[in-house]
Amino acid sequence: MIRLNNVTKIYETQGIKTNALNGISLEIEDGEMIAVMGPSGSGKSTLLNIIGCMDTLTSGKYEYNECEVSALKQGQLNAFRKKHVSFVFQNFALMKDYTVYENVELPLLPRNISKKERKKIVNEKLELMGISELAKKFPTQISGGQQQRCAIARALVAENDIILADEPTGALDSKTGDDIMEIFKQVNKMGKTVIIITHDQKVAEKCNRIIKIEDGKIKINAK
Amino acid sequence: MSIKNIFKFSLDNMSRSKKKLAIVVLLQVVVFILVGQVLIEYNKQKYILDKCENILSAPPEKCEAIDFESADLSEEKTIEFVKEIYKTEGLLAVGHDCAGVQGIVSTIFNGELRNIQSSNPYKTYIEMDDSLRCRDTQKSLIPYYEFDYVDKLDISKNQPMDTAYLILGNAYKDIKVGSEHIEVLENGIEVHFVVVGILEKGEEFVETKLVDPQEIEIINCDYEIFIMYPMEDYQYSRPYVSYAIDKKHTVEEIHNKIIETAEKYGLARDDISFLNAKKSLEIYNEPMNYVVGMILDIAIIITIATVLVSICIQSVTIIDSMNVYGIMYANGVTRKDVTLMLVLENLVKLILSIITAYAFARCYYSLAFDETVTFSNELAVLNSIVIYQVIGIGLLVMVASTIVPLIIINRNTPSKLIREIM
Repeated sequence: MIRLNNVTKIYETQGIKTNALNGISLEIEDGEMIAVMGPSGSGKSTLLNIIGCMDTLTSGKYEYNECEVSALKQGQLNAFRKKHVSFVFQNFALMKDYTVYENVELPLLPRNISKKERKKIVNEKLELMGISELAKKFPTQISGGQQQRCAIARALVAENDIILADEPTGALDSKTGDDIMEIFKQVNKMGKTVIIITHDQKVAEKCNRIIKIEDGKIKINAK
Repeated sequence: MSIKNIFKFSLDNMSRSKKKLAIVVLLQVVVFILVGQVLIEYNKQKYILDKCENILSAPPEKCEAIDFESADLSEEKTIEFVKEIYKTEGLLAVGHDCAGVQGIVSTIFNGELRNIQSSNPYKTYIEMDDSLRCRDTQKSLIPYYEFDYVDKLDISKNQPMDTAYLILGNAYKDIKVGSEHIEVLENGIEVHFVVVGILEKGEEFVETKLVDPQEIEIINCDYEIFIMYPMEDYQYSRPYVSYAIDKKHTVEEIHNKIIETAEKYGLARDDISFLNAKKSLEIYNEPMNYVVGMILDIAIIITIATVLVSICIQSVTIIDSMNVYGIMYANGVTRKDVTLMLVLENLVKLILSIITAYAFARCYYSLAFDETVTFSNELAVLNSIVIYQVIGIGLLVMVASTIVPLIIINRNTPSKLIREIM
């Protein structure tokens, strides 16, 4: 379970302080599928970064199961991220010089898995995403929907418990967006906790719970 | 990430952006060649300067040179005068640029005097790798060696210099066909010489003779002459004759004899002057120090510029691929892994650059200079000193080009890198 207790995050740029998160308290059960909504600058991405250990909080407490994540040092945060969190981004964040196969393989490299084992895992996920035949293609040679499938396959190979998706359908047409959301549902059924940031009400409605944030505070937290 | 995977990933990254890699390597190659060339010049000049200073600590006595102030060396009377100098009683060793023994540094090869002796460039034959090679001393630029005589020269005989005698770029009064010499190079290698012929004007050597190195015995001579000209006269066109004076004779006595000879051949007193070895070295040293310092300054400036340019290129490359590091962090790659990747990438670039620059320099010096011309032994300087200095500078470049991008990356939190993606 992810548990945030009175979490604040203050950014300081050229002496100006900005409260990105303003005392957020939140509990997310393992295996939930949550949509986080809110206007631009409301703190959605900051929340995602803190859950994904890409940023540290200013005050408050962040716990994951028995682990107090907010007390971890940078190296430990890296290890936590590597062990528990995978990301999917709006613009897919694929390495353009790497093939689909190599992009999906990337998270397995820091885990020191043998080449043979890596091949097996990657092929399995590519098949699951229905893009096996694109393994040797480069991201620029495939469609947006296929790129996002590739990004999701990459998020899945690490077998992490939490999948954080920042506007995963934002760069796709509605039909492809629907397909991608179906995939996220499947991923959620595998037991993964999925947290999706979105502006799209239709996308949010496909999740088990919707959290709306404004000015760094939770306004709505409804199932 | 395991070292193997980091290495693979780094090589993959480089091989995928071949254009970028080629540009960086090419730039480094150009800079290393430039730095290397300056360092070669610096080390050569520094070597001579060190030798000068070494000799100045115990300056040779009774060693002088005659400077031809205004005498026209193309005139017959001057040529005759030069020949006559060799007959002067009390002169122990005479050379057109230097006559020396162990520990001596020869001075500049003298073009004008060459024209007096022969219309052809001088040639000596060097025994090397069981073959006899011809050395064209016209290519001689700066002396860079020590040498010992094999045959003790009988300098008591005043043999007139009516033919061109040549060995090691020097003329000796008693040189004869078959006399054997050893030149000891900087790296300790001994090169064996034999005089294979004596040229008449306009002639070239026609006979060669191989020397059996086993039969050669090194005998040190008793005299040395070391003359350096002040900077304003540091020109290849300025001829002079150097000599050592027998202990039984005074300097004044020898001066008077030479002036008498000069007058006999119709030269005015002002046409020649005498340069004392110690004094000439002292005069020579000051501007040489300046020149060496200036070359060193240039080398330092180029090195600093190299480091800065390299840092800029690396930084631009890193900023350009900031999102790639964001993707890596998001997928479990740690800062330590990224650091190792950068170090490995820069190390590979450095190795490629140094190997290419060295191969180019080696080819260039082998083709541009006859390797047997040890007077201007750039290749030996490159191999013995400069390559290590360039590697040192290269490592400095590598460290700087790794640290600065790392600072740029680490100043950004993973979330900022992620923002680059979003």
